[in-house]
Amino acid sequence: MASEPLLALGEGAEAARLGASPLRLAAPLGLLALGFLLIPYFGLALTTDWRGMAPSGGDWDAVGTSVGATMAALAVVVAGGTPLAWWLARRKPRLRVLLDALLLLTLLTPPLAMGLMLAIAYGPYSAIGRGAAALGLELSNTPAAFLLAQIYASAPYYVLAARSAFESVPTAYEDIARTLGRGPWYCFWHVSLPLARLGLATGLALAWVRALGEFGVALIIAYFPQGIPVRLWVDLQDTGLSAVYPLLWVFFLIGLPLPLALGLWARGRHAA
Amino acid sequence: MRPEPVPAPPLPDAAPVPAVGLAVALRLARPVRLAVQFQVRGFTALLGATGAGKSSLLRALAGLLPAEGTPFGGLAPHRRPVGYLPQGAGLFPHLPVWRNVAFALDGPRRARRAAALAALERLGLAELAERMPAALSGGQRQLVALLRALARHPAVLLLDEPTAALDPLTAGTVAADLIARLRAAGVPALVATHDAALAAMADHLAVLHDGAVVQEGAPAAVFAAPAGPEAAALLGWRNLFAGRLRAADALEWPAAGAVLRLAGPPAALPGAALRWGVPAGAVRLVPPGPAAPGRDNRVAGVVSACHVLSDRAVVSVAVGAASLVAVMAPAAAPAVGEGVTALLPAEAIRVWGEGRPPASPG
Repeated sequence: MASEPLLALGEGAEAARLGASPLRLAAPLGLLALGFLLIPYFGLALTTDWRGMAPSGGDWDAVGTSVGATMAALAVVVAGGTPLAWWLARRKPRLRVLLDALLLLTLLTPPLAMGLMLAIAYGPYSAIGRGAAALGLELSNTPAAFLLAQIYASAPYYVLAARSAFESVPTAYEDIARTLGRGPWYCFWHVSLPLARLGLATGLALAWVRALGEFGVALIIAYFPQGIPVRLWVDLQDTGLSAVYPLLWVFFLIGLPLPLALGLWARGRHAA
Repeated sequence: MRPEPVPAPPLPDAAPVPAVGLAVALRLARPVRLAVQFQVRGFTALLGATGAGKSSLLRALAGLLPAEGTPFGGLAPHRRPVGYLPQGAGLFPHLPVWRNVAFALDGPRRARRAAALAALERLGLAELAERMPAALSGGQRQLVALLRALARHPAVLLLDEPTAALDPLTAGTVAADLIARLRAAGVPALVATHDAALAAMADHLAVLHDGAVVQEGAPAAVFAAPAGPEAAALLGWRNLFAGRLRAADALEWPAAGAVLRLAGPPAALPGAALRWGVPAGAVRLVPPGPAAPGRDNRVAGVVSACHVLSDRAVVSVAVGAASLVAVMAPAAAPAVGEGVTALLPAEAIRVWGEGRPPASPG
């Protein structure tokens, strides 16, 4: 009984101390900033004409193209990016700076520049483009080109996130697994990979959004087949802003659930 | 329902191999330069200061650091018959207890689970099977890590500071329990520690200092006759001082302004600078007064601190510029500020030469 007033006094003092701190200003300023960031979403929600919304046939083709290609691109990115990320996380420090710089280069290259460079490297007049064409594979304005654009757009994000994830797994666990008679492959599959899963999920979510939303790269080398971003651009150019609503909503519905779910799950696991 | 026969090997709960000596001769260049030679016999403690290279030595034995020598020279870590328990036990945080225990087992999941549960059952830990490692106490983690390592029937267990992560109150109990389990398992174990109390419980003790094993033997023998002042400090000797040999059997103790009589063979030539020590338990404190018959060295001092524990009193006596520690029964402890005479039996004083291999009898 006697301790209760004391406790309450302590809490009050604590609150008074916190109230005097910058935290008092942070809440309103933070809410203001968040509100500012959400203005476009309010705009979309308030101006959508739900009854008159009718996606065109071309819109649905774009959805199919985008979803199919994004899933294929992510499969390639995960298959190739995971070993790369693991190797980067566990490499000898001698090449560290150079490798980090190269990886950052692929991340920081503006999409339009990447599209132009892909056109130079894989286009019909390049050695690779001619070689692929000789084998019957056109790497310009084809599904293969679209896939290529999505891979280049999303892989750096996945690899960087996955590298951080693997770096956060103490090597001690891999060591212990080895002393328990398990070879390097078993250690990777049963120790490193599961312990890095939160970071890998984050990387996957980022890559999904990047691949699905890629516009700059696709515009240059894969205007056809039209994915959602290019189709939105075409709708805007041909008809105007009123024509983008249906596909824009579909874009959100397809693009956000996976990353949002993975992000919330990762945050929840982190807090737990 | 009758359980199916279990093909996976059962985890050992009794001695599968007798505890035999394992000769270790290893050379490491990095991260610590080490060249060690010693035996692992039963439960062996490797006593060394923090940073002396104990962990590196264990990791080298497990094949996780490059090293030359025996045993297991050149084998990949997963082919070495060792069980490695790092500091803090190192349970896989993403696996429940039973899957940690079953980690090294092969075969169908059911059989591995049954074998892991049986092993947990034998240690009375069956109720932990589904828990995650984060929900275990430090002592439970050690036991689970021990079961996990034993599942492979290792030829030797390597434990890195098994009591370091435990709170001091339970460390003693956990250590005693762990040692009992190790003995029951019958697998030789090398335990790296800086804890003299844990080292005292061992069957065999090796002292690591300055990149080499400077002394090994039965703990009682090592504690009684440390090979050098550094080993003595690791073993918990509190009374270590500088001195100078006056004659073959006379030691000058400059800090206290006293000359002490020595027993035994001379440690060095007269005039040599020395380090010397006396166990706190061998020092007796008596009221000041005329010398009673007896041949003990007598130095006068003043009690500067007295810490009374449940089973003993630790008394510090200012003797000149030096501080001498004596351990006695609590009832016999003098008061702080009291003048006393400290008796240092000549036989209890150990002398080590400086700048050359430590002198040791026998």
